[in-house]
Amino acid sequence: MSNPCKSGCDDVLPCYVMLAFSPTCMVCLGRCASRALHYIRLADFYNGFVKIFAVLAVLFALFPAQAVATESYGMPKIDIGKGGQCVKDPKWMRTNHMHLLFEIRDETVHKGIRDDKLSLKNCVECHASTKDNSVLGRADSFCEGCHRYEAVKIDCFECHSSKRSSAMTQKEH
Amino acid sequence: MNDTNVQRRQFLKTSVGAAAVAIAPGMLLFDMAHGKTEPVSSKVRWGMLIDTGSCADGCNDCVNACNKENGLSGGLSPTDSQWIRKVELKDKRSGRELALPMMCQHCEEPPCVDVCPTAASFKRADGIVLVDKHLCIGCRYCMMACPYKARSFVHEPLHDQKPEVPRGRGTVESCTMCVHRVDKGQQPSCAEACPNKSIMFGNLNDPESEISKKIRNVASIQIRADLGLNTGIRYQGI
Repeated sequence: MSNPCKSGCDDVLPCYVMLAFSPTCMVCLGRCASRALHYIRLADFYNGFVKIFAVLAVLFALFPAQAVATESYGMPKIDIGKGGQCVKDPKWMRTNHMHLLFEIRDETVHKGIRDDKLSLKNCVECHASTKDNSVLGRADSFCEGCHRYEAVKIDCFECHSSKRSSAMTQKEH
Repeated sequence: MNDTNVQRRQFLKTSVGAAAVAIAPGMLLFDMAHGKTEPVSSKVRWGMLIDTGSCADGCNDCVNACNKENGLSGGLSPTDSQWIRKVELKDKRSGRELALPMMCQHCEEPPCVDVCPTAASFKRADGIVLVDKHLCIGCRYCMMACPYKARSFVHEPLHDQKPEVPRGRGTVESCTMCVHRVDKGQQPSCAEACPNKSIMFGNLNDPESEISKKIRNVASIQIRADLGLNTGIRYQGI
């Protein structure tokens, strides 16, 4: 049986070069893995981390960097309700919505500034599920889904309504 | 100028006009939908004048309207919230009876604000006294300080609160003068619901407002005026 490895599993070449020539060769792959492990173990002594960074940089270049940056593995699929962007882009909102909510709540309660767009009620109005008109209650609910995944408790809805207000007024009439 | 050109011009004119007609209300609505972005100012002081003479004995419409507007249970047990209640008075000597609605008096110098250790109890620039429930720790000092027994403590977890009126366990609450309605330019729900128009709501700082004119012309008092709190709610005919 002929060896499919184009670099001939040559130990003279550095392992990652061999792997670059023959990505399917299991022998090279194994050697590369063991070398990487070796570098990690000796990182403190040999500054091997510089090489590991180089390998990581190559990996980031090969795989679409955007996917790594905005979505992490196992992220829940969220029911975004009506959805759509009205304040800022989803990535910004994912990181900063709590600061924005804190700011507008003080403005609203103490100064009476009621911006219709920047209000928790308006967030719920669009983002409540179209199935149950709520941002809570299910593993894919807009607020609860992410907060369960991140293991962060939400206090907002102990006092505030988690239901779409237009749906509530319809029910009353 | 040939005929085609005139027709073309006419067509362009009509289509531009139609487009303007179609877009204009949308832009107007967009402006209106943006909400109130100016902070409330102390140029306004919201207040009420309650005419006890026309407040009907046995009528509970203001209380019911308040409960409905703010999502209160309407129960009367010691642990149920009451933001407004009907008080019946009787002078034993003369036998004169009268009834009046009693709620947060929205003082200019509110004792509840003085005693609050977390600054959760506060007075808005326009004179409405509120509890910031984000800051309230539920110590209930304000309930003890209030001479009008206006405040309630929420003992049990609540569900299905009104979107406009967030309420929650472990915090103190009281009449908000329907601040969410006032900010939209509406009247508090008790004033709107009164069948005899006994509750007049308005701006005490504006000498031309209906309420200011009436206060100038008829005798009205503040309850416990001796405390010097300068309440925003005044009563006529006590």
